[in-house]
Amino acid sequence: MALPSWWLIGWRNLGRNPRRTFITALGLAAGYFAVIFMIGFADGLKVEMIENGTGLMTGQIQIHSPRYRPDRSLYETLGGRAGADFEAVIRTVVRDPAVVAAAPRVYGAGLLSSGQSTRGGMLMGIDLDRESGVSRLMSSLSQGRAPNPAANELLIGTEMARRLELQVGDEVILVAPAADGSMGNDIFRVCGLYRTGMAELDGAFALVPIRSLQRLLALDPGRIHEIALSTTDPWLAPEAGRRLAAGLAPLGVELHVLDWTGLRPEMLEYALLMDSWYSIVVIIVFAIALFGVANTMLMSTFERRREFSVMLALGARPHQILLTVISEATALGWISLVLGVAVTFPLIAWWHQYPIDLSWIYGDLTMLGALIRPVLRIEYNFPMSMWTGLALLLTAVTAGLYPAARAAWMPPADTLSGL
Amino acid sequence: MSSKTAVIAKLALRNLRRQARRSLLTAASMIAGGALLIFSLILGDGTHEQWIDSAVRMADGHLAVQSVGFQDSRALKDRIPSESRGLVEQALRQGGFPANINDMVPRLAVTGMASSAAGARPARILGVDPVVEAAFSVLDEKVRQGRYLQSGDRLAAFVGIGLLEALDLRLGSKFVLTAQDAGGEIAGQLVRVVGTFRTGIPEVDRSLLHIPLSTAGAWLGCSGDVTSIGLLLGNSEQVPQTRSSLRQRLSQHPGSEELQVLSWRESLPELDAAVKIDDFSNYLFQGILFGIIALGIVNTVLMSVMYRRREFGVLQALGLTPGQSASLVLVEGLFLTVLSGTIGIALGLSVTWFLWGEGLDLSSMMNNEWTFSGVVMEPVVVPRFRVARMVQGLSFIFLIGMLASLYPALRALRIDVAETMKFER
Amino acid sequence: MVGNPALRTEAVWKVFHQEAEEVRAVRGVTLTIQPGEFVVLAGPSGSGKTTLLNLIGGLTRPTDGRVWVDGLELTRMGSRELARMRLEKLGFIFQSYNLLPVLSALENAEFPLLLRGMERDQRERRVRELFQRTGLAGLEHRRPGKLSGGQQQRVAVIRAVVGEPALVLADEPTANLDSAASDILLTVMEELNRDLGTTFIFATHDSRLMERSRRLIHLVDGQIVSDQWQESRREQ
Repeated sequence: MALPSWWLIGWRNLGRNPRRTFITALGLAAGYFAVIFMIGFADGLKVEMIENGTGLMTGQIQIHSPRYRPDRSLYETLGGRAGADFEAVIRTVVRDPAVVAAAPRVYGAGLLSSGQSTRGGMLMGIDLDRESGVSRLMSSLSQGRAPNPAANELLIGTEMARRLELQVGDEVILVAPAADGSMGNDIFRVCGLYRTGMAELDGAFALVPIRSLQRLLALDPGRIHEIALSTTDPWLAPEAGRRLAAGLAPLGVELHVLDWTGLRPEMLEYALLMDSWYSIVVIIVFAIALFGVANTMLMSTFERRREFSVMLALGARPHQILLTVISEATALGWISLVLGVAVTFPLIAWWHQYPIDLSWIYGDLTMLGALIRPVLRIEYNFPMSMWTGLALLLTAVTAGLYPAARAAWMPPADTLSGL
Repeated sequence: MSSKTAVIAKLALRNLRRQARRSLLTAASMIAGGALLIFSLILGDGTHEQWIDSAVRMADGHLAVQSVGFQDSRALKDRIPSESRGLVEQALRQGGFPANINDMVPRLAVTGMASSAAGARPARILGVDPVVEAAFSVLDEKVRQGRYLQSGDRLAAFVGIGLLEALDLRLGSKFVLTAQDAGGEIAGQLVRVVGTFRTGIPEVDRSLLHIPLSTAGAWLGCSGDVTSIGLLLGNSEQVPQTRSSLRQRLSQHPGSEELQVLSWRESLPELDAAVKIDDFSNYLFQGILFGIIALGIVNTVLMSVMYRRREFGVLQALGLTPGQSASLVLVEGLFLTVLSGTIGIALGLSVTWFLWGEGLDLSSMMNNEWTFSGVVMEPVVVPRFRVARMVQGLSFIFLIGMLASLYPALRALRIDVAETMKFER
Repeated sequence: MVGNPALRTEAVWKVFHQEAEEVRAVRGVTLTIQPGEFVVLAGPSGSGKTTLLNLIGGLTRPTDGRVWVDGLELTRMGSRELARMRLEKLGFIFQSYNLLPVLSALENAEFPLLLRGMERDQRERRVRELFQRTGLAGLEHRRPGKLSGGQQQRVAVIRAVVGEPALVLADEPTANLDSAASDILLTVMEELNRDLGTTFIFATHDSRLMERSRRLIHLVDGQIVSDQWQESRREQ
């Protein structure tokens, strides 16, 4: 509508010095980009940590005998020494909508000897088919093939292979204390190597078909140490864990259901601290940007002090002048926001799709025991994008307050006389 | 010419003062930015130094002398025989122990299995000299039960709490260590728990144990040999220089070609990565932040050029070349940024010094222990003040000021004298 | 007419302090102007013309004395009431037009009506009629930058009279115009004065303007030295 409202006057004023408006808007837009980018980066680290910390091996939820953790004693299998119908447990848990897959596991510790060299290692018995639904262990195969579930074959990490000087096809002697009190020992063939990038895994864990390991450790087929579960989203795990614990009660087996926030409380804490750190980033960035916008608004109102005097002389009220300047600042905020969003989201989407390789700066690292790959992984964070947009507009309005007040309460005759 | 430079400088300063409010607002963002920059740099350095210190004490020191193959194989066959060990120690002491080496520890490391009636666990077994190790390592400060190893101990083990629990041991319990000895045979050794420790790093607590070096040597059939000699320096910046002087000293001895000197960056690549990613994200953040600040400066200086078109016209009519007009603008922008940047850095330094000089306590934000590539993050961060960082910060600010003033200066270059003189406003 | 005078001042003084120097810009001016008058305040620069206009417009407060516009005493008003008074009782015309550059000619002209919250249709009808009358029809949607000085000043005149004020104050309205543009402008104002009965007070030292006024008041050093009625040359 043709009504030259205060908003319209404010908006049109931005067009009077397009270069200045653009540079100022660019500053705010850069601030928006900075915040979304930094949050995306931190979110990426967080997601990477949680995904790798849970998805590489642990799983999002684990079910044990209540006495298994933290000692991880060989004897504390599900349902105690008698074992339990773990297939019934698995059937129950996979019915939960949040659960993707579940796999049984057996753990043991022992020596691996190649003839030339001997090292201590963890032995992990896995159900080859079901394991790939839970962890990325099987997809980390870098050489050779998966073991034959019925044979004495195993996978070792590349790091362990290097240290034991083993090749695919070589034989390795496993020696491990067994559940019957004896020392189990047997010859296994290395049918493949895996590489997760995490030295702690690659140098210490041997992956053995579950039945073969149970034989070595003198465990009955019904005795397993752990059922690991994957969920559709790590953040659904705590809720799903509570549901499962209730759903499993009728089976009459003593079970302990733990999701990753219970298994790795420090990860959850890190994730929560990151979230509170975001608001600090927002505050710092926009506090800095505030000065730039305030400066522009101050200049633009200073240039127009005569116009404000005229408006006052014509009978405009100070609050109306205030309103024009504030609306100018608000309009500037909107321009910046549109610019910021237009620049930020395509870039974020691009980087999300094709993460930047940072291996030239740093190698793999672990954070809270989880692998972090050297890529600039950027995640979307829509709630924060909204809040940041709001913070941007608020910054623009705040920056307009002081210049607006100066414009609104200037003595009119001072600038009018002698014109 | 120099008088013209002086005039330009004077004009630039006066102009900044004339637009005091505008200059102040722009300066404010720079001051805040400079303060934040130096704060994050010295705090980051403090944090990293802490990580490095705690990690190298847990591992092989800032610098480690090892046999060439050991870093890869981690096997006993790549050990330093006792003659070479003597050589190294002699080389270090020759002509006085280098001043910045605080401690030197010999270690014999082997990976094997620890087993008790309750089961077996893979273990990282470290044979250490109890006396020097107590000064070097942080483990003796992390005692949970019992005590650290002492000189004269035999068959004693100082065990991680996780390993202790996994093997269902207690103080005084005996358990068996099994590993491949120097001759390639599997050898067992009975030891007794004299103390336990807890570092908070799960992978350390459930696998590491210390036994006396003499016990380890006898068990593994290589008495007097070590796998590494760790050196602890005053701080991490001394690493490159100490390393090269050490290499030089060693190279004068025959047999030294079998030895290499590794820095913590090589022996702890994950820690190196953690430090770099932390620095990287800080640089990234500061880069963007100063981009925003730079835009503010561009705007201020540009506007001051636009408002003074006539003034520039007059100056040029009076004989200032366009280049000198442009440099006037550049000088103005640089004055503004460097002055405010310096104030910002000084402010950041003094605030950090007075408020958190003794350490910034973050324990309220951390309930659990956080580990980063095998390092426990301390809840108290002690800032680390370094001249190099201040020089870096100032140079960065100077660069930003230069870049931000460039465009307005170019605009001033394009001012047409005749055009501006026609303006009657 | 039983109404109030458009303007009454009583012994108005205005004293400025400029760096230890006391400037007595207006010294005890007493003046009454009736509705419909077409008055010129003449005098050399520094004689206090502009200050007197500012005092009348409520833009500055007198050091001493009282001012009434349309019977309302300005000197007792707060800033809020002053703004309201300016909006309802006064119109301003400035030497340098002072149109708001971001508004079109029409939007500038209707600005006071907008401030009063008048309906859009009503505003437009009134403004368009004045554009017709002042020969500006067709230029309604131009921004001030696209108008000549004379056209801009006529828009400013419309803006001053559109709210039917009791009094229009014009400070050197012709100073930036050539004689042809001045002539058109003066004719427009005379017609508005005659047809609508708008009261005009000019501060000027433009002799053409003085010749065409009906009441000529001379100010020297902030005091009235002469106040005479004359037959305007163009008036028959």
